[in-house]
Amino acid sequence: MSETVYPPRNSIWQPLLWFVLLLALGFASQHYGNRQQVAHSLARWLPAEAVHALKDVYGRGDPVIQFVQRTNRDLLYQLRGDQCVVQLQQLYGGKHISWWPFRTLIPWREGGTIHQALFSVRCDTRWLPLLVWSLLFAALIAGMGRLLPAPLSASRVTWLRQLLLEGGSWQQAWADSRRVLQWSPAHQQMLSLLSGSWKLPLRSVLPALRAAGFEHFDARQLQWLQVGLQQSQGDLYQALQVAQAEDELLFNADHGALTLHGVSITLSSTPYCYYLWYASLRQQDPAGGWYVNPSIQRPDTTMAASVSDLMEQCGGHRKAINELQQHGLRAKTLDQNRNKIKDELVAVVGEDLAADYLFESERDPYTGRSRYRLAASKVRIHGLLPSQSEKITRENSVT
Amino acid sequence: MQKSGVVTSALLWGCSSVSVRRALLAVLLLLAVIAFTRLVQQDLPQLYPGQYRFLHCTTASESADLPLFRVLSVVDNGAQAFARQLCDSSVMGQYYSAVEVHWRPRSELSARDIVEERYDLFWSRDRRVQSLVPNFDQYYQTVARLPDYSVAWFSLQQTPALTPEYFYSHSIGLLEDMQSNSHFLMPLMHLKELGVDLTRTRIRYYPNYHALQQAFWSGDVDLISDSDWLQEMTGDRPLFRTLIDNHASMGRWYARRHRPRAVDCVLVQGLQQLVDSLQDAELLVTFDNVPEACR
Repeated sequence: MSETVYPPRNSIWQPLLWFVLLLALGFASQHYGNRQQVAHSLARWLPAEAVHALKDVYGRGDPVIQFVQRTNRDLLYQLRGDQCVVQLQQLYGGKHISWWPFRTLIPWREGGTIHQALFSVRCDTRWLPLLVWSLLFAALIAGMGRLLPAPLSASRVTWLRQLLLEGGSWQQAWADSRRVLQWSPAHQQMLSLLSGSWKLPLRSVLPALRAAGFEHFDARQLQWLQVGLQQSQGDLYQALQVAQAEDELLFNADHGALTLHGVSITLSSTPYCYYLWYASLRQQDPAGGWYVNPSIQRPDTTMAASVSDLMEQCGGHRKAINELQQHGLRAKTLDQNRNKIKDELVAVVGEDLAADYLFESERDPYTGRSRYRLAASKVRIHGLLPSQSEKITRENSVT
Repeated sequence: MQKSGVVTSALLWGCSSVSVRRALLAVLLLLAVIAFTRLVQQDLPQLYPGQYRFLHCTTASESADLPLFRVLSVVDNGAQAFARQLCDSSVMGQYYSAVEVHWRPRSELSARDIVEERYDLFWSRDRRVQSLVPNFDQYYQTVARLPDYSVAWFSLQQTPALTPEYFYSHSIGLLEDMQSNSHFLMPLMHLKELGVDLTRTRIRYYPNYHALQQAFWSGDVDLISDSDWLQEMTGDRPLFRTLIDNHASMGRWYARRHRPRAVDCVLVQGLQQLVDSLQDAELLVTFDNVPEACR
C-alpha cells in the first residue's frame, strides 16, 4: 500500500508570501495613486491658470517666478493635512520634455506651442492602513481556496442530475444529493437499486426513506429491505415495513400462517407443524429447547403423541398423523421436514437471512446422537392451546 | 435537447469541473487584488488654483446681502493696499459686503462687461471703451483722468536715429499684447510715420513686460519702446533715448453711474494712493464727477 505524502496544508509560508507581495503592491499603488490624483487634479486648472499668469502681464517681477511661488505656497497649504508635498519645479515652454516615470508633467498648448509644468510629488507612506489591509487580504486570499467549495464529486453530480431530471428544484436537489452522499456506500447502493432496478422516483423515495430512518439501517436491515422489495414487487412502503419489522418468528397456528421478520412465508402443512413444534420447544425453554433425534432403531413414541396432537391442531396431514401414531416420531421424518423448511425459507429470504430462523445442531453428550433446536430465540406463537404447549414441555423434560 | 436541460448540464459541469473552480479562484484573486490596490490608496483633496487674478476682502458690513464692489485693473501693483483701504472704510461697509480687485489682460474687457456693469470701477482708455459700447456714457462715467506721459525708443548702445535704415539694422522688442499703448501701438505707428517698411525690420514679440525687459537688458533686442519710467530701472547702465510722443494717454478710471455717491471720497483717496504707488514721481490725477470736497 503506497502512501502519498502531501505538503502540510496549514503552512504559514503561503499567507506570508501573499502578505509580502501585497505589501509591495500596496506600497507601489499608494504612491502611484497619489501621483495620479495630483496629476489629474492639476491638469484641470493649471493650463488655464498658467496662461493667464504669464501672458499680457504688466506687473513688476518675473511672472514665471511669481506663478511658481504662488502655486507652491498654495499647494503646501492645500495638502497640509495629507503628508504630501507637491511642488511646481519648473515651467517649460516650446520644447517637449521626454516622458519619465517618476515625474509628473502637466502639458498644455498655448499659441501653437507646447508648454509643460514639472511637479515633484512626495508623499509619506501611510504604513498603518497598508499593513492592516495587506494582513487582511493575505488572510483572505490564502483562505479563498478553502472558502470556495470543492468541485462536486462524480457521484454527487449523478444524483443531482437524476433529481433534476425528475423535475426537482435546484435547492431541493442540492440538499437531497448532499444528504445521500453522507450515507454509507451500501445505503447509496440500495438507493441506486431502488431508482435503477425498481424504477422508483427519487422524489417520493427519499422522503419515505427519511421517514423510515433509512440512514440508520444496518446491513441486515438493508438485506431485509431487498427481500421486502422482492416480496412486494417493488412496493417501497411494504418493503420498509419488512426492513423495520421485529426480528422474530410469528406463528399463527389457527391459520397455518408464518411470518418471518415481517415476511409471510407459506409452508405446506406437515413441515409447518414440525416447525411450530420446534418453535414451541424453544419458546418454552429459551435457554435450551433442544430435541435429540430419536434413535433409528427406536422411534420416540412418547413425544409422537404430543406431536400428533399438535398436528391435529395445526392442520397437519392425516397421513402424517397416522404414521406418527403407528410408528412414533422417527429421526428420518424430522430430518426430511427440517430440510423442507430450510428449502422454503432459503428460497424466500436467502440463505444468509434464513440461517437465523433455521436450526442449530450439536452432538448430545449422553446419546452421541445429534440434537436440534430452533436458532431464533424470539418466537411468538398465536392460536395454540396453552395446555398443549405445556404438555409438550413436560414430556420433553421427561425425555 | 431542451434549453433547461442544456443549462442544467452546463451548471452541473461547471460545479464539478476543477478548471472552472480554478478560473473562479483566479477571478476572485484578481478582484481581491484590485480591491486591495484601491483600498490602500489615499484620497487626496482636489487641488484648486490659488486666487492669482484677484484679491478679495470683506468690509465691516454686518449684512452679507449687500453687493460686492468689483474693481478691474491691468496690473496687480498696489492692488493689495487698494483693496485693504476700501475694505477698511466704514462708508464702504454701509453699501458693500466685500471688495474684489481683479487684474486681467486688457483684451479681456468685453462689451458684455460694460452693458452688464460687472465692475464698479475699472481702468481703460476712452477710445477703447467707446469702441466697445457706443453709448458707454450711459453706463459709466470718468472719475479719474491720469496725466499724459512720454513714450520713447530706448537703446543701450547709442541714441536711436529716426531713419528707416537705423530700424532695419537694429532689432526691436515689442509685446504680443495688441492693446498695449507703449509697447505695441505707439512704436508701430511711429515706424509707419517714419516710412519704415515693416517687412525689412526684425521685430520680436514677448508675452509679458518682464520678458520684454529681460530681453532688452540682456541684449537680445537692440531697441524697445517704453515710457520714461524705464530710466528708473537702469541702474548704472548708460541708456539712450529718442522721444516718440510726450502726450501718450495713460487712461482713465471709470465708475458706474449708478453708485452710492457717499463712497466717492473713499474711491478718490484709494485711487490717489494706488497711482502714487506705481512710481516714485508724483502724478497729477484729475478727478471728475466726484464731490468737490473729496478732490
